[in-house]
Amino acid sequence: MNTRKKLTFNGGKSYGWIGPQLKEKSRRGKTYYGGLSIAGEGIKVGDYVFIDGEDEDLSYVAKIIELFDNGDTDSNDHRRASVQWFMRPKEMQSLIRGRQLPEGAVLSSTNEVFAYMVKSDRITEREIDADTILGKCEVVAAPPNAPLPKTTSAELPVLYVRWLFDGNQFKPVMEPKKVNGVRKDPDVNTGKTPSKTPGKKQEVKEQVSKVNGTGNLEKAKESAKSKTPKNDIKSPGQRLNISDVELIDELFSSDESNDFVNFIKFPETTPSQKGRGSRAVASVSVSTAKKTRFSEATDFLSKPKICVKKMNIASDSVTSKSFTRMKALSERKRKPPNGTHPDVDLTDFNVIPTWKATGKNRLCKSESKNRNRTVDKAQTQCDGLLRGRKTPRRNSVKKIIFEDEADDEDVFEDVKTSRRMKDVSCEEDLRRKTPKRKSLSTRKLQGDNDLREEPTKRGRERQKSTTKVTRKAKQQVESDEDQDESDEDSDYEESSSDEEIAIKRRKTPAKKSGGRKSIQPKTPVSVRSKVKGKTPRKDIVPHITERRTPCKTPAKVLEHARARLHVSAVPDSLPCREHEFDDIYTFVRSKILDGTGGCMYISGVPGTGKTATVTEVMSFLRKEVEEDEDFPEFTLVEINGMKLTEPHQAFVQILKNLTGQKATAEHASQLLEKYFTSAAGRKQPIVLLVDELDLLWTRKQGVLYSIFDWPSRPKARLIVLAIANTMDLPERIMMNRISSRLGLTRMTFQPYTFKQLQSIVQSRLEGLQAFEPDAIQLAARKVAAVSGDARRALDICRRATELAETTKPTGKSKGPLVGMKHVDAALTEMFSSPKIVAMRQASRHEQIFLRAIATEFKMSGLEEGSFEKVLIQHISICRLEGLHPPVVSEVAAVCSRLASCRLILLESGTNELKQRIRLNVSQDDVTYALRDHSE
Amino acid sequence: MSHLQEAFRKTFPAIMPKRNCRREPLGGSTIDRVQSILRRRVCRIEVPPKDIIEENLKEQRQHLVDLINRCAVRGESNSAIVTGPHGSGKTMLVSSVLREIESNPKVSKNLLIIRLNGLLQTDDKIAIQEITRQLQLDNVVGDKVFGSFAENLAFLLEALKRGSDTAQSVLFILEEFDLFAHHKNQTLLYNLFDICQSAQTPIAVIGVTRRLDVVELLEKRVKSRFSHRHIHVFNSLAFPAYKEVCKRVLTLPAEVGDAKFVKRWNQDIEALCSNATVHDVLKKTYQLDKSICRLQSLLLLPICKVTEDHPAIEAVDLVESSKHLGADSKAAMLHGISVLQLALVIAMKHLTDLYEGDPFNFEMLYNEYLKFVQRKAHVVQSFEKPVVLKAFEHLVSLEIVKPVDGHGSRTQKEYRAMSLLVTSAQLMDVLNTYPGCPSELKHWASNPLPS
Repeated sequence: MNTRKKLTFNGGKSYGWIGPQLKEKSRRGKTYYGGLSIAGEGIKVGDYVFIDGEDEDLSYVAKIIELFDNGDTDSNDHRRASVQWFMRPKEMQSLIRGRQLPEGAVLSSTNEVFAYMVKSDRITEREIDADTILGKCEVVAAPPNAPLPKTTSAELPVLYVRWLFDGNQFKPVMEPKKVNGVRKDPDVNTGKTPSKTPGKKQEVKEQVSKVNGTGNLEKAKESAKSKTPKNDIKSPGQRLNISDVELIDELFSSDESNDFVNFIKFPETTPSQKGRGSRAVASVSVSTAKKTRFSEATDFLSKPKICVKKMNIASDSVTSKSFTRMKALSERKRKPPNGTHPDVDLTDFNVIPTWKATGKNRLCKSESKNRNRTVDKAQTQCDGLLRGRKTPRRNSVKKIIFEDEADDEDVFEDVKTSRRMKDVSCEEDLRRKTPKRKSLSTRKLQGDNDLREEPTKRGRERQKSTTKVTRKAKQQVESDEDQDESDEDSDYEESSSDEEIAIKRRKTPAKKSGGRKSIQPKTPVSVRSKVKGKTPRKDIVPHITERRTPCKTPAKVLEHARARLHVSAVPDSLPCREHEFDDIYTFVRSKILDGTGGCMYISGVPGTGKTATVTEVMSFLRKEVEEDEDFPEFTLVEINGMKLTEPHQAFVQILKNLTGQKATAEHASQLLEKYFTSAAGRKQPIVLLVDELDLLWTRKQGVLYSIFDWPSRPKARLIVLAIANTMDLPERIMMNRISSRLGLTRMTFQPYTFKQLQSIVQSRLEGLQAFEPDAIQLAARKVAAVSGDARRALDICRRATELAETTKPTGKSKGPLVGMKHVDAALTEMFSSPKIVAMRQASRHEQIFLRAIATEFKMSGLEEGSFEKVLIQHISICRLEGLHPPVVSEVAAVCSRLASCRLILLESGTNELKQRIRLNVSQDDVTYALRDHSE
Repeated sequence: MSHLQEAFRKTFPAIMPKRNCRREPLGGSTIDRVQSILRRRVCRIEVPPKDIIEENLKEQRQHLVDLINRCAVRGESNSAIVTGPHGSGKTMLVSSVLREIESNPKVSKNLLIIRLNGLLQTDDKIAIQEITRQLQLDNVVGDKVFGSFAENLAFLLEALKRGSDTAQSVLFILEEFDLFAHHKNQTLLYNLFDICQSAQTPIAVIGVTRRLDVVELLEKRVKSRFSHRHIHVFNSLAFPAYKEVCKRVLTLPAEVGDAKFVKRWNQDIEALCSNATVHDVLKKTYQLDKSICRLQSLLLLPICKVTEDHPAIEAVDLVESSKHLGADSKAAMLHGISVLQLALVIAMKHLTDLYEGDPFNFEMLYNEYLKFVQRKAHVVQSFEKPVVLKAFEHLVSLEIVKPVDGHGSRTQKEYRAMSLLVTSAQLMDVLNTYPGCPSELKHWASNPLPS
């Protein structure tokens, strides 16, 4: 009892404490343990583990520092662990805020991590729910500038740490004291499994080989062979045997009974499976067969790793044919991931249902849920026992199984599968050998499940990539033969395939969701805070049909320049707004640190970078949160008055962004009131960014009042940043009680001066020889004189590049350089009024009518005249010029045409003769335009 | 109404019932075929000779094509407004560009086209529903869009936001763009332009409007987000080209069948166009309105007059048609009023002259009328005051005379201030052509009564 404190069933995994309570450390109701058994795998203090991340792509990596039970046995997460985090490059990138990753770091790399040693006392940062541990992995230190090792033979997924990030900078990690998790150097690492696991694994291996020996000579041979990573693939010939068939038979015969047991059962019949079983015995030390099964079952459910292992061994006896296919698989994997076919995921799901039919209820449920999720493209998650985060992984295991099933019957499927895996293969690129092993293992799986294959999938997949298959297969065979088989090999396969699957499952959702994912976090919550179970939510995610061909990337200099000059291309930092940035940053930061609330009103004419600056501050703060553990998390809620249909919708939006609830405006207002009055259920400060504030004005000003009143609530911890155009908006449209609540923290963004505009354009064009400096200056000066709107300056420059492009052939040998004349042309296009041209292009009578108006005005001295009077002038001018005077109706038509393009302003109404007419251009313009323009 | 229909046709070219506008086999006699071919041309079913018209629009066209291409191929968002007076070919330009783009598979497969018309989508709610419907987003069932305005907007924005550069480019064509600027808060325009200026689904917004000052209508933040690309289209057709268009419209193609007839017809047309009278008619029309639309309406009547008995268009037909078009509506109306009413109009004219355009009322008018009747009692029939009032009211309802704005409508109708909406020139024309007009009236009209 002491050794296995509890074996609970949690989300398909069994958890139990291992080892005696560490009495000396236990305090405050916490009971510390030396190890935790998760679904049969023992996790000990000091182990490296994968932690389930909310990010679908990658699980987190951490080292276990402590394991303890907080005694709250009612809740699901009483098992806690404190960890030392390792950051994936992607996470790291978001953490370091524009700083450079050390060179050699590959952003997409899945096997590189960074030691994250930022000091923090915040427990929440380091303490996690032990149930979120997915499984073990290994972290190995590598020399900072060496490329990551390509091969390893460890049983567990191996991640390399080369750099340590201490909150400010990266340091190489070769000194063991810094990388406290480093156990061995990759160069030395020749298949020796790291500390905790090796013994166990080794044992298993031996068992496996032993058992295998009975059915398969090759197996025995393997076990005797060397343990170098190379020796992983078995020679194909041996695989052709009957055990395969037996296996399948077994599988089917046991279908009627519990599915999990089935899965475990069929292994038992084959020698390899027995090995699997005994492995389980060894690791979990459960002696009765039944328990073994159970643990196996749970294994299968919750831990892909083990499951795959099992299948692996079980399918030692795979046909040579399948091996070749395996090769194809791995080959494909090494290819760049861009060829991924969208069908892939679908096929997975196609297959699943058939499998499900044989499956057990619970499994089915989770399965179907998963399916729904992906199919819906929504973030459906499994609730209840099954943690949403974990299910996908399981799912992926199954996917592989089913795909592989297909393989036996059709070579092409493998290609398909591999294609998918290829996505995953950033890691594999680095380790040449592993993919084979991986594919091997999965290959084996498929052997077991062949008959459940769903034909439709095959059909679909077959259509693609026929060409590559043969080549791949050939290579596969060749490389297969090079490889010795070893026992360790099989073990290695397990781990690698496991890893691969894990990665794969992370990748798959990303594939489907495409660009959506990145935009997703409406309320960005720190990664850490979501490590714990998040509530499942399902929304219809609207989207535009995906484009058939990807956007072309700019090739020429001018195209580059144009892409960078587009307003949407937000630069890394906003030049010329440093001061404002600092002010806002200090304001928000101090409020967050103090845990108080506050308001800030930001005004400025359009195009002066208000929203951009605030957004930058927010992303800066967000990075700070992730970097600096002292800095409290905060939630950001953005609303834009212009994107609301009416002011009260603001409440709905805020509520939706904060809690995900949907409510009517009235209800939302009440809920928010409650939300901000009590601090219950939330710890983070909230930053509310209200853009286009003036549109939230209502007669009673209820919306504005609420927004500015909430921050003053003692428990609200709400920081409001309100943005609008007018400087005196609070005084002008708000009641006193509102503007007093707004406080005095105001900031005005001055229109950009020409120098600033110039540097903005130049900073965007850095490194591109596209513009003459004078050309930029011209645009900047012109815009600064008119509005100081940065958007305008950028638009002008962008238009100038277009003009330069069209006139390039006639240009000199200077190359495509945007010169003054282009900018000038663009300026004229944008700023000049078309009215003069319009008047010149007008018909004769239209021109005469305009002149008649001008004459009439001159005569009357007024700027307004009635149609009647203008008509008289019109007719007299006609007579003067020898034209037949038109009838009144025709002149009226002329008049209304001019009015419709707003050259003149016409009083609305039907009393045509008495209609008052005004010129919408100056009289001088009329005379200038029509001076010498008579036909 | 016709405006609305036009708008409808522009927006839903495919939805509008296609009657016989598709090329039905040219049946019937030669004249029938000639009629159907020519009518199709002047009724704007077929684009008039494009090469001549687009000659002047090359630059604008290229700009538009580039802009849409870049949006579709590179995912570069843009906004532009096509402006120009009516009949200058804005819509024709846009649709010819679209036709070109649709024929390019590289572009068209990455492009979704949304057409909106300010006359149809009169507020943002309808506009957003229409966009959603045309995009076939997920909340569209059949042809119906469900959800409240707020939901729809949020949904659409979300959809456009998520796309980033993986989504198809969306091209928005907003006809009667100026009307969208009148929508509350300009929510739609703000959001469209905002998407243009941020890294979301690549979109191109092309507004089509007549108003040259349309940018002034935009709110400052909307204006700031607009990229200020103007594509100006003007009626820049010179008179020779205008005449050429006329000739081309009337010239028959060989497919009519009867080669002999076609040859003769075309010769006639040639002769017609060099005819001095025709030249004058065309010149006059051209001076009034340079647009092709006007030319088409000028040609409609002569074309309809082509029959078996009259198998050619003659200069007279054009002259007549031009007269029809140039007819003065007020004068035409005056032809239908009674002699009493005519007398009243003359009296009103004198009153207006007398008081230099200041308004008058019925009592003054009646007084003036009495003076005239008393003098000429022996020739002109005299009427009771109620009869005169009735006649006057009829004139009011014909809007030949109108109450002056701002003078309370509560005043008794006899004393309501009125103003005459007929010029004396019009009146004199009418009197000269009015059948059986008493010579006293004519005399009175030219010579006011001595007071």
